[in-house]
Amino acid sequence: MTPPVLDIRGVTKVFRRHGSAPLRAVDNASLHVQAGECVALVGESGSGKSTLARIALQLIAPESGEVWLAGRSLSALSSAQLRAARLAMQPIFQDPSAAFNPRRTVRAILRQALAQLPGADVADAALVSLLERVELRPAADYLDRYPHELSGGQRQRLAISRAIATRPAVIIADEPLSGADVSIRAQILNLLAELQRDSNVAYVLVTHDMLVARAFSNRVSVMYQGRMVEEGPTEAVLAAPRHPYTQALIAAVQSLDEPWDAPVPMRKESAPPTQHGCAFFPRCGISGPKCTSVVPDLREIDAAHRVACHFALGNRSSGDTQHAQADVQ
Amino acid sequence: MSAERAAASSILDVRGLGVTYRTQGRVVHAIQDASVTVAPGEAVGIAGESGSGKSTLARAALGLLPERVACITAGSIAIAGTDVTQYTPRQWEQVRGRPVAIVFQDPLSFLNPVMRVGDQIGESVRRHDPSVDTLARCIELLDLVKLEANVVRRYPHELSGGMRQRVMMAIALGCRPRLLIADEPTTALDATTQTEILALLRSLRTTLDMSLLVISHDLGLLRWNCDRVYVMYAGHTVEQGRTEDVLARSAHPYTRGLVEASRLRRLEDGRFATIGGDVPDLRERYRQCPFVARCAHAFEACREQMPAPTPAEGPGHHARCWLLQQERLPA
Repeated sequence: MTPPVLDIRGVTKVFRRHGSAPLRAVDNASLHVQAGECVALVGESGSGKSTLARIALQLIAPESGEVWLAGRSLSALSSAQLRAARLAMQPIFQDPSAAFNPRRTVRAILRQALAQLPGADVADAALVSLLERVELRPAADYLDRYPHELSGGQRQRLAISRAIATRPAVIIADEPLSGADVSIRAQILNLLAELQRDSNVAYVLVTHDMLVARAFSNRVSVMYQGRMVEEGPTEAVLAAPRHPYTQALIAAVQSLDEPWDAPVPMRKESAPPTQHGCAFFPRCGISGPKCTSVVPDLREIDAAHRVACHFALGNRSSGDTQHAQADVQ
Repeated sequence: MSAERAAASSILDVRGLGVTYRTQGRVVHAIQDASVTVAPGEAVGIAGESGSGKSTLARAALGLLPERVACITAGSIAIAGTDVTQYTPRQWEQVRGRPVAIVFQDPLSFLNPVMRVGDQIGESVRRHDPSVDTLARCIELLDLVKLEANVVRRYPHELSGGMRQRVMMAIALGCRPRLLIADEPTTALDATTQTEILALLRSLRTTLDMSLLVISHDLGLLRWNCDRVYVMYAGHTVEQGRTEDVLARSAHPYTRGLVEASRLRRLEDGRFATIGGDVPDLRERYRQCPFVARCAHAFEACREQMPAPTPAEGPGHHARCWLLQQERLPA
């Protein structure tokens, strides 16, 4: 099997702040994505998903663990090779208005992006074709505009055109749709799908929106307090979530099609999570004694479906777990 | 119930409202023709995308439009039977927080960062009833929003996003409102916190016998938390009715487009359904249907005039669309 385009292996990042306890933002987390695939990275604020995205992009150095790109560890590369590797991995950030230098025109923004490629053609024709790929038409009209003269949806398209300028193998998109109106959201997803068909680019889609994860990703990884708690094929995870946290996330989704009632609230975090037990323990409704003493590993429960929960693993058929699941759902 | 009686008994009655913003020579007709009523005990939703005018409507209903910049150009607003359309800021001081209160999307921009939570709730409590035991009432209000009494001594930055939202609700409830307007109340919150706030809003509505007006871009949220819903587009209320009717049996092509896009429904070619065309230009005041340029069903009548609300399937279900009147059109 060809190696994943991006393979994040057991990375840990601890933020040490003056006067407070160190924060394990990412704790031994792994994530990989194959060419042409989309992996949704979901979780709430503070789960570490954006930090993990920044580690992958080499914007933050992890304490331990490695990032592999197309079968090579980035830590083994020379600085010239690392520059080239960075081009193969491009970000799209949440707020497209903050992502651009406001004093640069669209032409200057795209030229700068293209110029990173050795021997790249930066003539207007090349820029126009980039803009046309993100459906900003007539493209020539956009070249002399400034980012603030574009609508939010147009700016996000510009961000995408800049990301694809270096023909990346993987795009890491951090909440690219949050704040966008629903009609824009569907347009941007259509565009991302089209680019994927044309170039076989892989996506890591960081999102809090389970409907987007369900509609667009092949696989989903769920993060909680820096750790991966569940991962697997999107359909399997969303149809039969095994981790109580994933179950709570899915129970919170209010879709137009399935009747919804406010679920029973999770427990409040009364005790801080311990290093030794499950991070979700303080809020969990089904925890047992093992949960405070042993960190649950991710283990496979079904084809490529992995869960880090003592209960989802040990007592698969126990009435206890099923009852708890019914509660959460 | 006749229209007059409905209006007399409603807590909020907005009719044919027009609101225009003027800044630096630019004129924006943010609300062009919007009508919304909320009856006692009802939970009503306003759905719309950015620029639809839904937040402006909420602010107009509370006298919170920016002075000098915004002006009401048409229509009327009545609160509990009293016409407040021409109220001065002083008159609004009397009204605000009595029958109607509001909670916003972003509690941090609303709360005072250097003032303890208790003092901020206390201010609202005293404005309503100067003789009350402020601390006791604060603790009662915190309990109502499921926060512990010791929160009175905390500052907003010491609280989580969900707790801040609850504090803002406690401040709003300090005046015992009959209608609580929630403008995107959960947009900035995590999914699980969102559901807790929604559950809280539900239970407060019952225990305090209060009406709710929820303004949101999230159709799923409105679907399961509101009895009736209005859809706004380019400053117009284009469809209204029972939530189920409007969202499952939409009559207006814009509502249908919005529902399909929200669902992320795939078309036959595998693409997600979107609403084509450009967002409306609010520098224009529309006489014709504002959706006409994006509508697949548009015909001559649509380019000439916006139709009156026309009955659709279901009680109280109306849409402003010529398609519903097509049979009645003169040849």
